[in-house]
Amino acid sequence: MRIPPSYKAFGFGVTLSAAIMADGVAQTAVTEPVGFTRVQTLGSSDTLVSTPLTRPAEYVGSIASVSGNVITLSGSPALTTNQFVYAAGTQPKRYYVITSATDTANAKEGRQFLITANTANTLTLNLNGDSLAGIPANAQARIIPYWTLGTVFPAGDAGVSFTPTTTTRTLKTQVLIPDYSNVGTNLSYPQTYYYINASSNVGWRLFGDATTNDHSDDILIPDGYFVVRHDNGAPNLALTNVGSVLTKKFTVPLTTTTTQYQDNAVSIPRPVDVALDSSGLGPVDGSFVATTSTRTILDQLFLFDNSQVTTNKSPVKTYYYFNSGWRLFGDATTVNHGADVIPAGAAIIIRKAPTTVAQTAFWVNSPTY
Amino acid sequence: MKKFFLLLTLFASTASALNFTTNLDAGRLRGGPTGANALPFDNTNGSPAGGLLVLVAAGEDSTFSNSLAPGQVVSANDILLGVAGFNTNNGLDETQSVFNILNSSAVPGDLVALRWFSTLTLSQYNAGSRPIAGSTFGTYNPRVSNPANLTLPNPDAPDGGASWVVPGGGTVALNFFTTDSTEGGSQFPSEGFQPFVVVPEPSTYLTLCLGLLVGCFALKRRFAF
Repeated sequence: MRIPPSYKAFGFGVTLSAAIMADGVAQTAVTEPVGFTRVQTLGSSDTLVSTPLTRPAEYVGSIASVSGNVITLSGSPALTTNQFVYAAGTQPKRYYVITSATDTANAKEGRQFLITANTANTLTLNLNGDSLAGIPANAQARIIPYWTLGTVFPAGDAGVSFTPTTTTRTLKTQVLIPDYSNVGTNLSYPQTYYYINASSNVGWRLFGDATTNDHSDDILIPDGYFVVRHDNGAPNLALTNVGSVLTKKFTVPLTTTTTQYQDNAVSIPRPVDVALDSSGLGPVDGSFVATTSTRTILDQLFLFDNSQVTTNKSPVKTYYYFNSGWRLFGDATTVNHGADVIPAGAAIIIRKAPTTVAQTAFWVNSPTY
Repeated sequence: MKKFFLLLTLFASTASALNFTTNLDAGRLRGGPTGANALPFDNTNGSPAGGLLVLVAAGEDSTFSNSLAPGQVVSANDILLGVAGFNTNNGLDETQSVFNILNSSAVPGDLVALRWFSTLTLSQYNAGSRPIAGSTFGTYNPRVSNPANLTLPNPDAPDGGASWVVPGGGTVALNFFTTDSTEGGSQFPSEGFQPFVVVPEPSTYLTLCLGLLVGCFALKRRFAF
């Protein structure tokens, strides 16, 4: 069954580059391609989506060195101390840094790390168990603010992309976040957000927290997805994502265990459909383990159908890699489905088979444009 | 027959565990058999200092056992699905609580009930504390409410939301509202009270009685001398 593309991507590429010499070190000022995407979110239903565009980068520069969890930037970026650190009420953004290669290979290309502190020329990062080893000097660093509930669903879009809740007993539009931390498969959504508009109490709230605690600055991670649930009579609406096109590699970490299959709720920020053969997923680098016997499917990739009107959806397509090609569960094992696409902005579940050593696999996705 | 049992075992061992999330909105929940007391509440995220809330699955018999011995939050063939803390984030004695259920052996479609304790908090429970003899508790499921709930169109969800049964997965909303809650509801206020008591097991009673008898006999002999 073909999954209908529900995104229309209108991108106009405007890229200006200028080499600026500062202290003998070249920095590049770049205006990246920008555009917008739009997806229909159905009433009485779950629409599983991600953000195929990023927020505009607020810094792009060269790396001088890395040590521990600290990146030292080249030249004199003259950053303000902790300008990339969240401060409720005064600085509403949280930032991640993503590195790319220039003339030397970068072992950590495309990985994203939360910035926890910065000085005039250094970034301190939360590596979440990873390391910066292998990032060479002169690699490029791009600092991007995370999307948040308040930026993906701003107050001004009430009635356009979401329906506000006026009484907490009857939640209208909800944004559900997948379980990114627990072990197992078929994990649910442990966090539910809703937008309240009740007298002077206005803003994004988290179910289970005080109804006056603002969660508008809570982040939506770039390699994950979220569910837009219109409930209790909330109508069909449209979600528009306006942002920058990421033209660099993007890396998604995939968790495995030694004892059971492990689901990973992921996405890639690409505003175009990506064929499986072009996705970067595959057995060559261990990101997707090939199946050797169809009685025991190993790694699997699941996709959903947002045209179905229902909640708590199950995937409709299961792909696996077998006999040197992508196969679709339910189709003949000789049919190559490598040209099948991951739709732009799609929610993806990658189910990793048990491994002999619990480790993180990395899916490195390169842009096809 | 042996082959049949072997096949049955193989099937059971490959059945997948159930994961789901329940967003509960319930009020008014009160303490004591007449609802005279307030439950401890904690309006911070996760409500660790709030009264213990327990989500229970009924098992095959579709009945909930309210005979709890000290140390128990469920009994008989009931299944403990998950725990949360009580808050008043949704109004007077009305909680908004999240249960994240992982790897449950419960079967989709089995009845689900909410149970609440007033002498135990979520953090105490997580630290290993359990109900003691004399603790009161309440249990609610629309099917076993008193009087039995027959509200149409869905008797398993008289206050809206999802049916009070184990879902197949995902995130579902469970609602339980008494008529005296802030925005009203379908259930009698007494459904939010705690009419049940944790009692010692019969064997414990026997031991206590024997101990009393021995003590009385010893006293009698002492006075006789």
